[in-house]
Parts: sequence; structure tokens; C-alpha cells
Amino acid sequence: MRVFAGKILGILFGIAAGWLCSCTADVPADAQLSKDKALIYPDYSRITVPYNIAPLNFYIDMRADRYIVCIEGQDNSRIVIKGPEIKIDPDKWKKLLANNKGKSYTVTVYLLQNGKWKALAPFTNSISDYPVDTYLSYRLIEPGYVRYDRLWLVQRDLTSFKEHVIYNNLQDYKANEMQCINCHSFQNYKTDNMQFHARAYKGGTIIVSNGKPEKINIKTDSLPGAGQYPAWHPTKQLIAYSVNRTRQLFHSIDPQKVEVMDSESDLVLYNIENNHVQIIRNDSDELETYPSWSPDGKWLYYSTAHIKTNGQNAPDFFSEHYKDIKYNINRIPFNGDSLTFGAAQTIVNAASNGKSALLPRISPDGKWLLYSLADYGTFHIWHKSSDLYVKNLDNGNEYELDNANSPDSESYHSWSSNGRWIVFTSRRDDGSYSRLYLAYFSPQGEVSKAFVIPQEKPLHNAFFMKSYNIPEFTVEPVTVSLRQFSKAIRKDAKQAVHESR
Amino acid sequence: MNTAGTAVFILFSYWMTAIVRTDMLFRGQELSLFQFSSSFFADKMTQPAGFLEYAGRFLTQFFYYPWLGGLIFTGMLCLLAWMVYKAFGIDKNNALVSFLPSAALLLFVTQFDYTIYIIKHSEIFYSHILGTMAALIPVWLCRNKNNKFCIATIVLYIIAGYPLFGFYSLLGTIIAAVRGKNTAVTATSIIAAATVPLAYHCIYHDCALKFMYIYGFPFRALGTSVYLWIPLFADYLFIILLPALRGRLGVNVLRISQKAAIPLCIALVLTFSYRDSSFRKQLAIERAIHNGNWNKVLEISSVPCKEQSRLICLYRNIALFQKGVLLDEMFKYPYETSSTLNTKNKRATYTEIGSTIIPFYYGLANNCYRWNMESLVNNGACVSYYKNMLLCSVLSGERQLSQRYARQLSSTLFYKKWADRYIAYAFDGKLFAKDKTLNKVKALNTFDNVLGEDDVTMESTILFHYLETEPESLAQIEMSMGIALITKSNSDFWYCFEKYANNAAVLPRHVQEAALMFGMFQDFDMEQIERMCNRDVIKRFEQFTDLVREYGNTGMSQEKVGRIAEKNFGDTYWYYYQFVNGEITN
Repeated sequence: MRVFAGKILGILFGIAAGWLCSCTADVPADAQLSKDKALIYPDYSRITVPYNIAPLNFYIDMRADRYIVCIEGQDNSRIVIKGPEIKIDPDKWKKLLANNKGKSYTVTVYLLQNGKWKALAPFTNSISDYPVDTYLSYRLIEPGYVRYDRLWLVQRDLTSFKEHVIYNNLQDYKANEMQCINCHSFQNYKTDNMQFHARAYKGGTIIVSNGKPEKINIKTDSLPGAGQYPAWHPTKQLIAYSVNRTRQLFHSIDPQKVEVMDSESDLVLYNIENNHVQIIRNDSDELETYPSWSPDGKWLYYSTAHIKTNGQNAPDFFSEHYKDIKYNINRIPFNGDSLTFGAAQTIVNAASNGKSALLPRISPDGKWLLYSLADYGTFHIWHKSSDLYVKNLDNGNEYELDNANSPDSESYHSWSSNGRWIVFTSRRDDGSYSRLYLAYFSPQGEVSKAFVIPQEKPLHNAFFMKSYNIPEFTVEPVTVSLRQFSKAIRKDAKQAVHESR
Repeated sequence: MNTAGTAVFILFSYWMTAIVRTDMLFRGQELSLFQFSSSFFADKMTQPAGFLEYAGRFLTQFFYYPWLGGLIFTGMLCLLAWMVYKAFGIDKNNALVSFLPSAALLLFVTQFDYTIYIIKHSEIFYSHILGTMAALIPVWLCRNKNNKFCIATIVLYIIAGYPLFGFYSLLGTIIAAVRGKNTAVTATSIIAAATVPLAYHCIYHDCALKFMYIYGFPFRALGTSVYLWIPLFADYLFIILLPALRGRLGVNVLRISQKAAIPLCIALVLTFSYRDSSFRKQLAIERAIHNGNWNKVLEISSVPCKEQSRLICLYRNIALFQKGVLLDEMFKYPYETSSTLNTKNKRATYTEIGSTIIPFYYGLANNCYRWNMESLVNNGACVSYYKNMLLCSVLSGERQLSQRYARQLSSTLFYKKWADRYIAYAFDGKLFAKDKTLNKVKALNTFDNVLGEDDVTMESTILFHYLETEPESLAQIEMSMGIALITKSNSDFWYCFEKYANNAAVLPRHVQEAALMFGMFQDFDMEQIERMCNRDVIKRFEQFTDLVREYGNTGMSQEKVGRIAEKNFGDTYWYYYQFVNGEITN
């Protein structure tokens, strides 16, 4: 019905937009040049954009009697729009980007103030030769604490504003019990093999294997919990999971408000073909989490924290020492024939610098390790100190991605399939509602200024009261329908079998 | 329609809503949200009956002025009665019978208890009136029309009406089926009602198949309060049965019904409406807090009532603290409270209801923000949560976050000014400094961060915070002292006493009372303590100890001694300490 209502609104807006466009704007010839910078929301100035991105609509956040914006490509093609709400015609935008691929475009904002036109200092954006993957999946959820109600797994077409609901928890629920849905993951940017979890009501892990969805219960008696953070092997029907015993504590005055921590976490491997689950790492002094495969599938990266509770009971230990829990990034070799793992190597020794490194993600060319680094802990999405870092796996250089980061939390990052774009969540807008930011990553390992993914309504992010999380790129749309997922979830879960090795 | 009968119903309905339940109407609109934006409309239309939700919320916002909201509400009930009268072609002489569905829906609203705080769909004040009106449309359109017209009308109605009215469009179709004197009309109605929701399930993304027939009915809105559905069933039964009964009842019966209709309406509403003086008191206090009128809070608090809610004590202590007289007057007011709220709704606990406001005024902005977020997730967005979250963000210095909530409130009809006032505080420290209330709260909101687990209840969170936190400012010492007195903790009392004696020029009355009593218990140097106390306090303490000793020696029960002591010492800490049981919340 979202689509249905959207269509009706779309028609109405279309009529309105058509009327507006009929009032073609002209660039004021007599405008005086000003050194003032244009204040626009979202900030789409001095960025690098993929040539296939949807129009970067924006709002001019300045007082004036009239507004005109001129977007000019290097080929002298122009788009002129009246403001303050700048909604760019998608066809003209596409043409402008295509004609200026590998070059740039310049935006000039004109304001009519006190009867005189003023041209603000123009800004230029680069247009990358590299496209961004068409599809981006994420979850929409209130930035809540313990409770949840309506949740959506959504797939966005980044070349337009189309959103497709992969699944939501409104398909089946009890009047007083909803499902929690989380941790969607895809195999190698394709959607034929994907998974997400449904918790609570009719819970289980929904695994789509070769296009067929099925509900599995990964938890066996030998594991501390159900599979949580997933990582599909790039070529095999295998998923590595962390199994975590998680709890939440609340800050009495710290603006970070909530602390999510694991008191226990191990790594397991689930074999879809034989429904077996085996332990990868379950060292009692280590908290292993956030598994991630190298693109060749020969290494499993993960975050791990060394802990010694010295007999103190776990809840007290973790609430007293939460700032001392620091994660490193390790990796272990994987033999795909015998399904065995080798000895661990530390790749990022963050703990020795008093930091905590999480969410290792290897670039598709295998050269770069992208991770988030904060002062402590395992849930950086709530840590204001969390920033994106990268490590060059060829020469070992590690550095912060300054242009992508902000004073607030950056986390849950993913690579595009060509390795030239990174997407991540950031709470920079207001410290609470996370938004998805996109940034160009050059072959030399430099990142350009990050920008929020565009929306049809420029002020969407200012008014939208849900957080975006876990962005994952895919090169194709999810083909399993919402109803198929719903049907699979209604069935009883297939119990995974524990395999000792 | 009968003018006198109609006038009586109008006056009664207006009295029951705008006068008797004026504060409930006000709170009702605070716990609702209507925004003038296309995305708000689109969001409401994602499920069948979305229009009822949208229109219901639109009308609910006018409860901001209860006199106006009550007028609109009564007007809608009358419009419904008129539609019943017209749709069923009721005889002029029996017209007052048409008010029965309106009375059921009036009762639906007047029977609301504490459930109102945790309603998932705040439009329910109006959505069922609007829904019943929608259900009458096909009946009305098909009156005295041929079968072909009726079939076409019913099919078109349900196709167009289901997304707008959900369950009520099915109800309308069923009434049409009951009234249909032709098999084809009845069969078409039944088939349409059975199949159209299933067909729409293919279009809607946000719907469960098993609920397709009941979207629009408050199956989620009222939680476990199924008893609140009864007036709705009465409404449905009436509009289904009225046309069927009309032909079968004799003229005499109808005449009696006509005469009895309005008295029956009034009797039903008066008998089954929710009556709880504590509930009314609480709503009035919350409205006074919205207006920043702490004197009013105290004035309302001082009125005794049976089974008083614990939240009233907490609100009252906030007001006393704001007025700077917490430690002088906190035991002057009634302290006996009920252990649970007077409701059958299991979800309506003190914590669930109070924690969206109360922790803020105790300086626990993070805790309050968290509970507003949890409630927002559970019950949906509303003005009240956004207001509280804006205040919490302003207090915590989170400017951008406070702007987000201010934007939401600015999109409403009545809260833009309120939002403008408080968002200005986030950016202008001088303006903030002029706000006495927020400054007193800010003085409490300065302490070292503690990472803690969820305490079971809101009140225990507040108590533990003050018992475990080192008070620094005078405001914090004052509040900590108050908590030490409430919890009857003499060690915490003496800890605060030392700090308080060093900071305050004069010891407040209850502090003197507690010092005398705890000093005596612990064999302290009473002369030193008495030097810090007023003579009349010392004299009364002697009288109190004499009284307790005298009656205690007679073997009289603690309860009886308490009743005797209450007459002269009910306003003292000694009485509270000896005879009032400790804090109780759920």
C-alpha cells in the first residue's frame, strides 16, 4: 500500500511538478558576485559523485525573496531550477552526468535579496567514471533501546528514488508481539543467496539459497545463542556467524545513552548444504565477533577482545570494565575443501593503542581493510568516537579516512562491488538518527568527502524519524517476494545440527 | 428529530467531554499527533482504514482547546445520529432512537482509563464515529433503490471504501446485506465483503493476511483492555439490528423506545463511564505542568482523593522542589497511595505512564529520553513524546537533536509556538537562564556518568540515583535529602544533613523534624540538634513522642495510634516515618 499511496501522491506531485517546471527559470544576468557560501541541505558541495546516482536534490537554507540554482556541466549543458527546494529533473540530471563523466559540474546559487540578485560562491563536484552499485539494502528502525515495533528491510535503487520493501514485520504478528528483523547479508553482491534474522514471534534465520527461502534455527544446545552477525562465503554455501550473548546498559548522563556489549561471543560456520553448524572459535578468554570473508574466501577476518574476568561475575565485570574492552582485528586461514581454519593472525592491533577496532570489511580487490575504530567496546554505532579507518594490506599502512568521518559515530560500512565506493551509517546529523553516507574511494586509497544518499524530497532526512542501518550493496534486486518471505517465516524452522570437529 | 431530546443529548455529551473530561481531552491530543504534510498522510494510508486514522487524528488535535474539541466531538455524535436517522429511514416520531449508537461511542470515550496513556492508535476518539458513519453510506445510498443500483453501489463502495475505512466498509456491506430484500444484493454484499480484503492484501505491503478483515478495529490499540471494546460492539450490534428489528417491533414498543432513548443513553453512559478521582487529578496535574503552573499542581495535589496514584506524589514533590519548599512542605500533603493503578490494563503501570515525564524533572534527562523513545516505539509518535524529547535534548545540550523534535512539533497546528520557545533555549544560553523551571532541572542534571542496568521501576531508578550520587549543588542536596526522608534512611539523611547545614542558612521544617527524631533514635547530642531547630518544632516533637508513648503503652494497634496521631501530626515527618508505609510503585 506504501507503493499504492505513493503512486497516487506521485501523480499529484507530478501534476504539481509539471506546473512548476512550466515556469522555466532563467539565470539572473545582473547578479552580483558574492564570496558568501551557499548553505544547502544536505551538504552536496565539493563531493565526488558516481555518474549513475539519482539527482542530488537539496534545499537552500538561506533567507531570500527568490532563489535560482544553476547546475552547469563542463560541456556547458545547464539545468536551471527555482528554489528554495531544488528538485532536479531526473532525465536532465542523468544526461548532464553522462555527458560529463570523469569531469565535473558546478552549482551556483542565486538569491534575490532586497530587490537585488546575488550569485553566491559556486561549488564544483566531480563526476566519477566509476558507477555505484544500483541497489542498496538497509533496515529502517527507530533509534530505540530495547523495544521495537514496525521494522522494514528495504532495497533502494540508487539510480532513482525507488524503494522496494524486501520484508517487514507487519506480514504476520500477534496483537501484542511483533518480530524483530535484522542482519541482512548477501553473497558476493548477488541476491540469489542472502539471509536475515527474524527474532521473537516465529523467529529464525531466513536463508535464501539459490533463490529459495527457508527458515533455519541455527542455535543448538552447544551454542550460547543463535547466529547473529553473518558473513556469506563469497563462493560457497557457507555462512560464518558470531553467536553473542548480548546485553544493554544505560548511561545516566553521557549523550551516547546506551552501551551494548557482549559477555560471551564465539564464531561458528553454518553449512547450508548439509544443515550442519560447526564452531570456528570459542576461546573463553576471547570475545570473537563480526566475521567477514576476504574476497577470495581464503581468510576469515573478525574482531576479537581479550578478557579476563578473574572470577568476577560477568554482569558486574562488564559494567565496571566496559571501557577496558578493546577489540583487535584478526584473521584465520580457511581451507574450503576440508572446511577447517588455521591459526589466528592479528591484523589490526588496536588494543595496544587503547582503541577498539570492529567490522572488518575487505575491498573487492583484496587490498584494503576498512574498519571502524573507537575508544572501546563492541557497538560503535552508539560511540561518538567511532571513525572509519583503512589498512593497506599490501604495505601495512593504516590511516583514518578524514574526509568520510565526523565528530559523531561512523559505522556499519560496506564496499561497492567495484571497490570505488563505500557506504556507511553516520549519526552526524543529530547524534541519534543514523543516515547513510556515500564516499568515493580512489585506487590510491584516498577517500573524498562523504555525502548522504539523495532523496526525492530534499528535507526528507530532516523529517524522517527512523534510522537507517546495515547498508549492503548488491548489483541486482532481491527477487524473492515479500509474500515468499512471509510464507517461509510462517513455517516451522529447520533445526541446524551441531557438528563437532 | 425531537428538538428537546436532541438538546438534552447535546448538553449531556458536551458536559461529559468538555466539562467533566476536559483534562482527558487535553491529554488525549497530547498523546496523539497530526501533521500537515504529504508524508504524514502517505504514512497513515499504508494500511486499510488509513483515512480513519488520518481524519481521526486531525479532529483529535482540536482537544487542545477542550471546549472546542468537546463541541466538535458532540457535533460528530449528532451528525452520526442524524445519519442513522436518515440511512435507516427512521420515523420522525421515533427519531431519538438514532442516538443509541452515538451514546455507545460516547461511552467508548468516557470509559477510557489509564489505557489512554498507552493507546497505540490515538485517533480512536474519533475513528469509530467516522467509521460508523462510513458504514452507513451504502445503506443510505441504497435506500429505496432498485437491486441493480444497489449491487453496483455496494461493489463500488467496498472497492473504494476498503482502503479508507477498512473494517467499517465491511460492516457497511454487511448491513446492506442484512437489509437487502433481494438474494442477489445479499449475495453480492457477502461475496464482496469476503473477497475485497483478500484482493487488497496483494497491494498492501504493510499488512498481515490474518488481520485484513479487522484493520480499523482497535485490535492492537488497546492492548489487553478488551473490555473497552464492549461499547463498540454495542454500536455495531445496534446498527446491524436496528433495521432488522424495525419491521418486527410494534408501534407501541417504538414509542416507548423513543421516550426512553435519551434517558437510556444518559443512564448507560453515566453507569459505565470510568470514574476515578485520582485519574482525573493526575490528568489535571499534567495539564498544569504543560502550562508551567506549579502553584496549580500543588493546589490540585492538596485535594484528598481515594486510592491516590503514586504519580501524584511524585508530581507534587516536583512542584514543591520547583517552588523551593520541598523540605518544608512535602509531608503536609496526603502521602497514602495505591500500590497499583485502578485499571484492568496490565500494561498500564506507574513506570509505563510516569517515566515519559517524571525523570526529566528529577534531572534524569537520559532516562526520560530513553522512556520516551521506548514509548514512541511501542505506542507511535505523539506530541507528548516529542515535547519531552525536545526538553531532554535541550537540557543535555544536544542542539541538532532538539531541532529534529522541534521540526516535528512545528508541523502541528498548536505546538509550533511551544517548540519555538524551547528550541531557542538550545541556542541561546541567556534565554535558557531566564527559564526558572529548566534551570532548577539543569541544577539536578549535573553528575558523574554511571552505566547501569534497567531498574525495575521508574521510582526506584530515581531513588537509587539520589541515594547513590554524591550531591554537590544545593539543589541536588535538597533533592537527595528529600529522597532520604522518603526512604526513611537515617544514614543518607545525616550525610545530606551535614552538607545541607553547611550550605543553607535555615534548616527546612521537615529537616528539623527528621534531625530531632533520628537524633533521638541514635542518642545524639540533642542539645546541639535542638539549637538548629525552631521552638515550635521541638515542642511538637515532644507532644508527638508523648502521644505515641501514651497510646503505645495501652497496647493499641499501630493503625489506631496512627489515626489518632494523624489529627495533630499528619503534616509531620514523624507521622510519615511511623505510620505511612514506604514507597510503592509498579
